[in-house]
Amino acid sequence: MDNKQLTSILESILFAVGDPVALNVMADALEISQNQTKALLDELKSEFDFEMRGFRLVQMENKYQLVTRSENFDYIKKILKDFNNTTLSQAGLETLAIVAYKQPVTRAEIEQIRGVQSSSSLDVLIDRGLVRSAGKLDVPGKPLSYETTGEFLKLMNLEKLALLPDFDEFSKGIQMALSEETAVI
Amino acid sequence: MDTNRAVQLQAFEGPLDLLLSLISKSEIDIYDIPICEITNQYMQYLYTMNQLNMDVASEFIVMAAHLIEIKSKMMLPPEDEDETDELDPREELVRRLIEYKIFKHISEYIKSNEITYVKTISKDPEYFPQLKADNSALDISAQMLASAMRNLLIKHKIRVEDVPSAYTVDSESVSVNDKMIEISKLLELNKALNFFSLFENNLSKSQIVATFLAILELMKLNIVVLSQEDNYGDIVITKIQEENHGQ
Repeated sequence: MDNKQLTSILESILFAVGDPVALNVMADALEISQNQTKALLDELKSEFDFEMRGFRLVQMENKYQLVTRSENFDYIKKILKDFNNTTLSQAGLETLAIVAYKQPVTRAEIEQIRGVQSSSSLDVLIDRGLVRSAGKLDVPGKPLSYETTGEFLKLMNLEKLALLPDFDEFSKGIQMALSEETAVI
Repeated sequence: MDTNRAVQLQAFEGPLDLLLSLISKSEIDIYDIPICEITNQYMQYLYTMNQLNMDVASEFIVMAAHLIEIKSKMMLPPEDEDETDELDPREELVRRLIEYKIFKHISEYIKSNEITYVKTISKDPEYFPQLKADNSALDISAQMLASAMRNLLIKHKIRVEDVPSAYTVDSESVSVNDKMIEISKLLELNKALNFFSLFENNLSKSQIVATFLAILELMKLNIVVLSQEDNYGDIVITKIQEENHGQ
């Protein structure tokens, strides 16, 4: 099969499954190497972007998913009137920020940093598939820990967690802003 | 206090958020917080909240106690003259404030990405009604049931859009009990039932809810078990055999 046929099959698979599909699963189905599959997907992704197609191909670690182009949202919304696209609350965003940079993190650690109860924020994040349980930590009390999911990568438009900006970048920014404030005084 | 002044109370995420706001408003150096002044301002805020009959969360009270503790520690002379490198009682608080400020900053960064994210739609996993014969049981969490329920309601709502704007409304009463009997009867005839098939005939919202509750109730009474082969696959309802059940 030539690349054009293979790409066409990949596009159909991604549409039919709907959920994120793992690279190795697609490679097995096409009976080609994972490297070749990845190359084809990368090409498909740039083709979608270059031609401003209605789909965008997003990568989350080793999984791929077809999603709509956000620029087209207002028109989709005219038809899907009840589409729920509520944004996260400030509490939810803060909790998500802590999970993202401290994972695996326990609820107690999150609450220590935020200084307030955070269980309901955590529930919302879990319900939205942005955060999941990462098992029990091997410390006294065996507390449950939490980590971010592939859906979080989709939110951040990142292909993998390692691409998240360094914590120190934010930290330095804040420290600098604080010392400037002090200098003014 | 000037009673004519309109009281503007900003909502704060917690005591750290409130402290950061007080510090930035008073243009105070965070590394050298005048603890007396900040404690007064903090207490004033709690006092106003109290006057407005607002619930003051316990976390705010804990922080107030902590501030007073720091204040009193700073007023006391160092216990031991030799101990010159004694920790500044404010140090731990400052560390927490800065850490919180960094995470607030990160949350703004996440928020900026969220704008595009909420306008991006992905398709539901495809649903294949053809039931596979061998159903190796897979535990189903409340979460999975809830999301199956939500999908049903959303699909139902979209379908309802097609209904003409004027029509007669018949009052309808659906009892969970009736649904339980209905499902039990269906289970007498079939060995296994398909979760989604129970919702197929354009049911009304109350019927959907009653059916859903009936399934949960049957589960609770140990009459049926649910299993699911694949993630997002169909959920299969099977009756627990009487001999296992009765004794």
